[in-house]
Amino acid sequence: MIVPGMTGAEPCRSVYVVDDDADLSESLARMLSRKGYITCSFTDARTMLAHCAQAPCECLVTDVMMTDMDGFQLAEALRGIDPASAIVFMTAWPTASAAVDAIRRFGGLDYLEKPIDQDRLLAAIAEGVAWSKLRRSALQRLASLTGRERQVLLLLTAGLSNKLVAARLEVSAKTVEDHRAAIMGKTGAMGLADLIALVRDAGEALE
Amino acid sequence: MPNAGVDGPPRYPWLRAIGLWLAYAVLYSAAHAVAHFWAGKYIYSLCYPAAGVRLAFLWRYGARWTPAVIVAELPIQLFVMGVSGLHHGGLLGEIIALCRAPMVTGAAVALERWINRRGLSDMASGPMALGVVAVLAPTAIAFLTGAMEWLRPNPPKVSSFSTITVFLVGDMLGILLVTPPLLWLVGWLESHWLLPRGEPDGGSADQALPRPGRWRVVEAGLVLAFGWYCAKRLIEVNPDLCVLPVLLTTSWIGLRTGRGGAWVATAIPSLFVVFWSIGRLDTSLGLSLHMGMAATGVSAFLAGSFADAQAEARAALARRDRILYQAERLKTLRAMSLAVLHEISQPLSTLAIESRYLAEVSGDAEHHAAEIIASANLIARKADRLATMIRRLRRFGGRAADKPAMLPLTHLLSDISRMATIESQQGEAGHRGPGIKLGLPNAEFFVMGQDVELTQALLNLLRNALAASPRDETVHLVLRGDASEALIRIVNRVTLGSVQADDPASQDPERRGMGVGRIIAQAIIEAHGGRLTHFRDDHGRIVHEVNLPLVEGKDTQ
Repeated sequence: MIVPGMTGAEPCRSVYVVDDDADLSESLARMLSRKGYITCSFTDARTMLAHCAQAPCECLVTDVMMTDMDGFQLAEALRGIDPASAIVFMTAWPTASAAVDAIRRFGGLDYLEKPIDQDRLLAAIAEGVAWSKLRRSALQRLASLTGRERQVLLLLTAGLSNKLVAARLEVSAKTVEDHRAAIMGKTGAMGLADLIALVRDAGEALE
Repeated sequence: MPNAGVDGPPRYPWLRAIGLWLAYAVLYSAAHAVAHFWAGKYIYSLCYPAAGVRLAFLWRYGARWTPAVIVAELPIQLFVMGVSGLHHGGLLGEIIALCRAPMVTGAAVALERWINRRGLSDMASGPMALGVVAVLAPTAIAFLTGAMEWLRPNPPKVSSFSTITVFLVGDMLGILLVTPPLLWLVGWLESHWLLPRGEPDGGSADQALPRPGRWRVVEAGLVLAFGWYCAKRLIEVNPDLCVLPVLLTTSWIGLRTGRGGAWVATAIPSLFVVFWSIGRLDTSLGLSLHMGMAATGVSAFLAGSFADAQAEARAALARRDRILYQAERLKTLRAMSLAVLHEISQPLSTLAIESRYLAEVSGDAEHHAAEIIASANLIARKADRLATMIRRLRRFGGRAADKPAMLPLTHLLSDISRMATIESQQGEAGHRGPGIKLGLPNAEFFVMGQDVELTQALLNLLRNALAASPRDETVHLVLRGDASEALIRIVNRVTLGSVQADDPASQDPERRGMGVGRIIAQAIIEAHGGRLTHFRDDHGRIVHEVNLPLVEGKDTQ
C-alpha cells in the first residue's frame, strides 16, 4: 500500500487512462493533457498497476470490458495499492447492474457510456482529482497515528464520550485523554469537528 | 351452388343446407337400396353402405346435422323402401328403432369433436380420429340394438347376440368401404370449388393423403398377393383361418402406405368378395365371410391411420425444428448486431474527441500543423472502421450473410467471448456470471463457413458452459491448430445440478435449457465438415471440443 509522499513522486493532477483500444486511450490522454492534466495511457490493466505502484495517480479513467483484467478487477486491485485514487469507469456495453456495481461496490465516481460525453468526463475527472487530493491529504495527516490512537479517533468521531471510549477500550479515562491530545497534535485538528471532517475525508481507508 | 362462399360465407345459406340435405337423401336411398342385395333370413343386410354414407355426412358437416339426417332417413326407411318386419311395437317403436343409428352416429362424432377440442386424447385428433369413430359408432349401434331387442317384452325370432353381430358386421363393412372414399371425394370436390366447404370443425376430408413411393406400392402389391395366396391355400386346409393372412398383410400395407393404401388393399378384394357372394352363400356363411372382411378392413384402416398420424407427427416435429432453428438464428443475429452497435461507440468516441480538437485549433493551424495532421489521419482511420462496421451490420439477415466466406477464427472467438460475457453479466447487481478466459494463438486460423451459423454454434456452446459453471469460476475458451485442423476447446467446471444456494439465477429452471442449443450447434458444426465431442477431463471439468477443417488464408496479424 502506498503511503502518500513516501516515494517522493507527489502526484499533481495526474490522470491515467486504461483502454484496450490504443487509439482511444491515447486520444483521451492527449485531450486531457491539453486540459492541463499529467496523463499516461495504457492498453492493459496490469501494466498500469505496475506503473501506479511507483507513480500513483489522482484519477484513473478505465474501460470496463478488457480482455485480461476487466475494469472492476482493476479497481479492486488499485484500492489495495492506493486507496486515494479516484476511479471513473467508461464502457461500450452499459448495463444497469454494472452501473450499480461500479458505484456501490467498486467505489467509482462515475460510469460513462461510450461514445464519451467529453464535458461529463472532464467534470468527473475534476471532481475525482479534488476528491483524491482531499483523501490523500487526510491520509497523510493520519499516517503518523498509532493503532490505538486510530481506535480512539474512530470512537470519538462516532460520538462517544471519553468515559465511554475508556470503557470500550478497557483503559482509563486519563489514557483516553492523553491519546486525544496526541491525536490533536499529530493531525493539527482544532477540535472534534475537525477530527470528524478528517475521518470523513479519509473514508474506509482509515479502517 | 350459388355463391358458394369463395370469398366469405354463402349468400343463401339455407339454399346450401337444403341442397346438402337433398343430396344426402338421394345418396342414402341409393345405398340403402343396394344393401338389400345382401339380405338374409331375418337380416336386412350383411353389408350396409348407407351407414358409410351417414357417417361420412355427419363427419364432414358436423353432428348438428343429426336431426336433418333422421328426417331424411325415416321416410326412406318407412315408406319408400319398407321395413323388413324386424321391428314390432307399432309405428312409434319403429321410429325409435330407426332413429337409433343416426343418433348414435351423431353422438359419436360429437364426442370425438368434444374430446379433440379439449385435447383429452391423441386418439381423437388427426388421422386416428376417423378410424376410431368408424369402429366405435357401429359397435355402439350394434350393442344398443341388441340390448333394446333383449329388453323387448316379446322376444324376437333372432337372438340378441346375432342381432349385435349382424348390425356390427353390416354397418362396419359399409362404413369401411364407403366412408373414406366418400370423404376423399368430397375433399377433392371442395378443393376444386365444386362443392361448398364443410364446417370449420368438420372432419378431415380435405387433408391430402400422403402418397406412397413407387417401390412402396410394389411392395404392397406383392405383400397383398402373398396374403391372398396364403388365404387360398388355407381354405383347403383350415377354412376358419383363411382370413388371417389377409388380415396380417393388409395391416402391414396400412402401416407402410397409410390409410389410402390400406383402403385400396382391403376395399377392392372386399368389394369383389361381397359382390361375388350375392345369392351364392347362405346367411351364416355370408355372415362369416363379411365378418372376416370387416375385421380385415378395421385392422388395416386403423394401421393406416396410425401410419398417417406418425407421418403427421414427424412433419410437425420437422416444422418445429425449423422454427427453433430460425429462432436461434435470430437470437444470434440480434447478439451480433448488438455487439457491432456497441463496438461502433469505440471509434465514435475517438472521432468525437479528435474532431472537437481540430475544431478548436483550426483557427491557429500554423502552430498545430503536426497535431492537425495526426488527428486528421486518426479520424480517417476511425471513419473507415465505422464504415466497415456499418457494412457488416447491414449484411446481417441479408443473403450475403448466408454465403460461405473465409472466417478468421481468433476474431470470431473474440467477438463470441464478448457477446457471451455481456449476456452473462445481465443478471442482478452482485450476481454477475462466471468470467471467460480466452486463449488465442498469435497466428490467425481461417475456416470456410457461414459467419452467422458458426457464431451461433460456438455461442450456444459457450452460453451452455457459462450457464453450467459456478459463478466464481472461469470458463476457458482456447484455440489451437495444426496444418489442417483447428481445435476449439471450451472448458468449464460444473457443480452438482449446477444449482448454487447463493445464486438465485442458477436456481431458475428456465436457465437450464432443454438441450436445443447443443443440438443446433452439433448440426451446424457437422455441416461445416467439423465434429463436436465432449468429455470430462481428469480434473472433473466438462470439455467440449470443436474440430474444424482449416483453409489457406492471409494472416491478418
